Amino acid sequence: MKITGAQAVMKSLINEGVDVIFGYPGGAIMPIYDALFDYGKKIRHILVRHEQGASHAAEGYARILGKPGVCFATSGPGATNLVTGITDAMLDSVPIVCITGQVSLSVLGTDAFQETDIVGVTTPITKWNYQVTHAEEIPLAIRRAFHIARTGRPGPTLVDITKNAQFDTFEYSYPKDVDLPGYRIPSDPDELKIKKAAELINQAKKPLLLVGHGILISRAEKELLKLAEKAGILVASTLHGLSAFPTGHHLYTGMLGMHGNYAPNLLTNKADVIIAVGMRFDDRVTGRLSDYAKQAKIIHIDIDPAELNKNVKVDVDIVADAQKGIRGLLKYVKKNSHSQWIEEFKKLEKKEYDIVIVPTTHPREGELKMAEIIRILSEKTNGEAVIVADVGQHQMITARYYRFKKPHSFITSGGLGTMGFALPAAMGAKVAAPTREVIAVIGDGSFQMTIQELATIAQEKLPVKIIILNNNFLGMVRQWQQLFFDRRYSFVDLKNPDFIQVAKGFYIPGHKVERREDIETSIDTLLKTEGPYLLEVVVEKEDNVFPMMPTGASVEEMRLE
Amino acid sequence: MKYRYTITIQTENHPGVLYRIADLFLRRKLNIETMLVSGSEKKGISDFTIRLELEESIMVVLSKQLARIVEVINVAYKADDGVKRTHGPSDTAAAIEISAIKKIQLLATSKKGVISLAQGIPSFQTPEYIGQAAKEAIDNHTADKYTQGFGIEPLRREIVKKVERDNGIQAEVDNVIVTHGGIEALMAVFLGLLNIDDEIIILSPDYASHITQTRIARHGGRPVFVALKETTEGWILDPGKIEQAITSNTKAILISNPCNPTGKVYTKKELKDIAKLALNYNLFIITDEMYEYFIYNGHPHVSIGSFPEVKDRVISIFGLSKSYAMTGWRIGYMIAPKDLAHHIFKIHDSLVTCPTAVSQYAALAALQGSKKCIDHFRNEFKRRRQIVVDALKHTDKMNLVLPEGAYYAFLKLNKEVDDNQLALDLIEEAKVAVVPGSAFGLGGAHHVRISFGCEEDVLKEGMRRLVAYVNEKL
Repeated sequence: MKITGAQAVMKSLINEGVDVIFGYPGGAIMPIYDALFDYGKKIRHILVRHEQGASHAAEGYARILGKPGVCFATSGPGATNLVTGITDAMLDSVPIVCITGQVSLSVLGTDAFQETDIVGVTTPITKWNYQVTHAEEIPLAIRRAFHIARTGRPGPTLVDITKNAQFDTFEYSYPKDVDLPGYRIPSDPDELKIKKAAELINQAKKPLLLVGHGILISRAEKELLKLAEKAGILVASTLHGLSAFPTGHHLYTGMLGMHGNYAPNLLTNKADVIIAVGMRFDDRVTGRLSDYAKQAKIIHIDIDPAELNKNVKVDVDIVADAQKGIRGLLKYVKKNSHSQWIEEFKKLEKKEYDIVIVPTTHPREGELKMAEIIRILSEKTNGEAVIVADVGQHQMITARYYRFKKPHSFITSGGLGTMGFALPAAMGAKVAAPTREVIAVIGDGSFQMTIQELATIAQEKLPVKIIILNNNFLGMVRQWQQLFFDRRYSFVDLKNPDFIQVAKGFYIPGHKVERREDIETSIDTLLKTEGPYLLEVVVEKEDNVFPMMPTGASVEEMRLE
Repeated sequence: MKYRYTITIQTENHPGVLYRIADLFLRRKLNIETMLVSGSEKKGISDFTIRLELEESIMVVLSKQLARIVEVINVAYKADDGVKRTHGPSDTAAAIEISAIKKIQLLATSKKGVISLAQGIPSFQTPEYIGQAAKEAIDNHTADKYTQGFGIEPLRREIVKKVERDNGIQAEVDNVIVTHGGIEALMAVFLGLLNIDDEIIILSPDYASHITQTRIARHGGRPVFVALKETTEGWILDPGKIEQAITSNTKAILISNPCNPTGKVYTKKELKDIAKLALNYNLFIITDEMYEYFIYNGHPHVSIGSFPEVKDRVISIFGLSKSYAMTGWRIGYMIAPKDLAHHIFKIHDSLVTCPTAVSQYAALAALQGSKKCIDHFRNEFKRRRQIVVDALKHTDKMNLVLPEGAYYAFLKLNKEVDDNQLALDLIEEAKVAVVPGSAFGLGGAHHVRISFGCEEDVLKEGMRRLVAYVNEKL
């Protein structure tokens, strides 16, 4: 039987196991929305308030479940509003599939109403994209979009469908084969290289594991724990690797990078063997490359061959997903322990603990510190919540002080650093993990970038908990202006709205807290309230994030104050 | 260091690919000097040739980023000039591995009480009359000196007769080069035929040394595998798959007939299909027919070199190691088109000067003598094949597509076990050596190869150990 292209879109999505779509209708995607109308029982459509929200929500969903999040948007502004989220997904390797409506083939290229060359626009920021102009192309295009988004190194894909293709009818069948001769997914790692890597690890006196997002994407948390414990290797995590390894574990050294922990950054330049798994030596992690880990033999395992030897020249490069790579190593790595090396770590850890951690997480007087809020939140949730952080000072503080016990518990925008990410991403995360506590930690600046998604949260009754750490500043920029631009505070001062009134307007309850003695009960209220809740915490205006590695500094030049 | 590079990229021919490729240069603000985009001889494939000057370090990363584009099938680049020195082995030597067969064999001989079903050596002695001829050559001092590089004239004449009689190949003496075993013939052919960027399609699973040799010839590059489909009816060739693998860099198709390790014997129809592809795409065919006489299904052996339509593009390789139980004598030979033989000879000359003289006289006697010994070997191997089949009745952990030829059984493990690990475990724990299937290229994983060329009692005991082990452990 013949069906329309729009119906074929829906059938194809069902074939891909899609159960949630984040979207916003408009002229050029109306036939698809009409087809969607009949799928109310099988597919939950969440009507966002801005397409950027749809893309971030799809990211939040995908980060929890590992399967692609799906967005719908119309042509023109609908599609261009997705761009930030698509770019974010590209840089953070998040599988999302965007389906956009497009003007009809007959007017394509004529500057028709709401026409934008979205395939052209998104070419540099998608893993793959495709414009469908005939209904028959739909099943294969969608099959490919999902296959490419979720396999190998995940990423965003986009299928742009002209309106005539949505209306036209054809004999539907869903292809089995994706037929992509140029697309290669790495299979098993090279055994010889694995053996060479294991040999290096077995001989190491000061081994250090640097773990990233790849661990979580390939679901390799258990293997990682085994490897670290068996060979007695200290573990350091990138921002996106957080929660892959339990924060409280005795081999865990903390977070790498610009605002990471003191010890793991310094240890990078002391280790004799570095095993980097599912991470990409981002410049925020390496600092000045010419002084990065020169003393160490480096083993790099990544699924994307283009990442190997890109920023850091390595001794053993292994193309594999993190799970297969670590499983390979486990076969040859011998039981070991490195007590002296761990001692070295403990000394550095103590230094940071005394100078930074204790004073900021347990202040006795003065204004509220961001770190103490996160410390209390971590305690109250027993380290088991899904934490979605936005971008800025509060993000680094959250990453530093929340003590994760479960994997897949930290979602943030790392590569792109997208302000406004957290609120919509938390919606997506909550949809994907309805039984887990999902808490968005957001700065006052970031919150106002996607504030309209409060309406989506209210309409969908999503019990997302929101904490605004309000310093009435664009805090991170202000910190840099203070330290590196001679305190010339150029356009970072915010006159904020009354966030509680705003939330109320969206039918979301909340309250504001300013005093240290009220913090614990406030967080209790946040957690106990059924449904969404907003807690605004007024924090010290000029609180800084330390330690920090200034731009262009080496990992050794980490500043503690 | 900056060089001027020529980058060649093969892509699917879709709208938008140009944009994706150009964007990678744009992002780094690299100015492309010239770019040529053209259709390739293969339908649906485009060839890009891009020239520009850039840092070597960036070129390396850029090429990987280009390869990451979904539509891109292949990326290669070459610098115009520049000197690079390294202290150590060549990249090629460093990149290749010692063959799994030899590794396993070494390991097996270093352990006490291990029975080896790994290496493909026939258990028989070289027939007496052959040794006799060699002794005479020594005593008469006819084998004292270098011979002609192509091999001694009478032997080449005898080979011409033999290939006409047994293989239906019309050859002249000038088509024949006598070599130091089949392996030298193959190496000389690969080196004589392949440029660094040339691709050779290997129908797999295939003899591990072919794979290593082609990698050496291509300076460490990867061979292109087209896997045969393993079915209960046998190993099935899909010519469409070969066609898909053909690119503008493809130079030749390599077949092993009968095949080591699968025992596959190609039908006339399959060989005709291959010949047709070679004609259509202007390719060479290299055929390794070392096991030509050991076919058990009653069908005659068909040599692709006998097809007149591909006469000028087939290089056939034969040898006496297996047919006359002469593995130690090291004599093989090739039949190649004359103008090509001339070039291959230059490589052959550099490798060995000439084949060992005394062995050539032995080989001459072998070919002149009766073929009775070959019939005897074949009947023996057929019996031994049955021993393997009977032994497998006691397990459901492995399946065998009955080998139609050669003397190997390529056993499929019913679980997706790591065959490399299994081969090591078998030596350690079951005291029997087999070759892991992964060594034989695409389609080889989760298999082990055993040779039934060995003595009957050895074979029986080896199979007993293998079956007992897999029954217990898998």
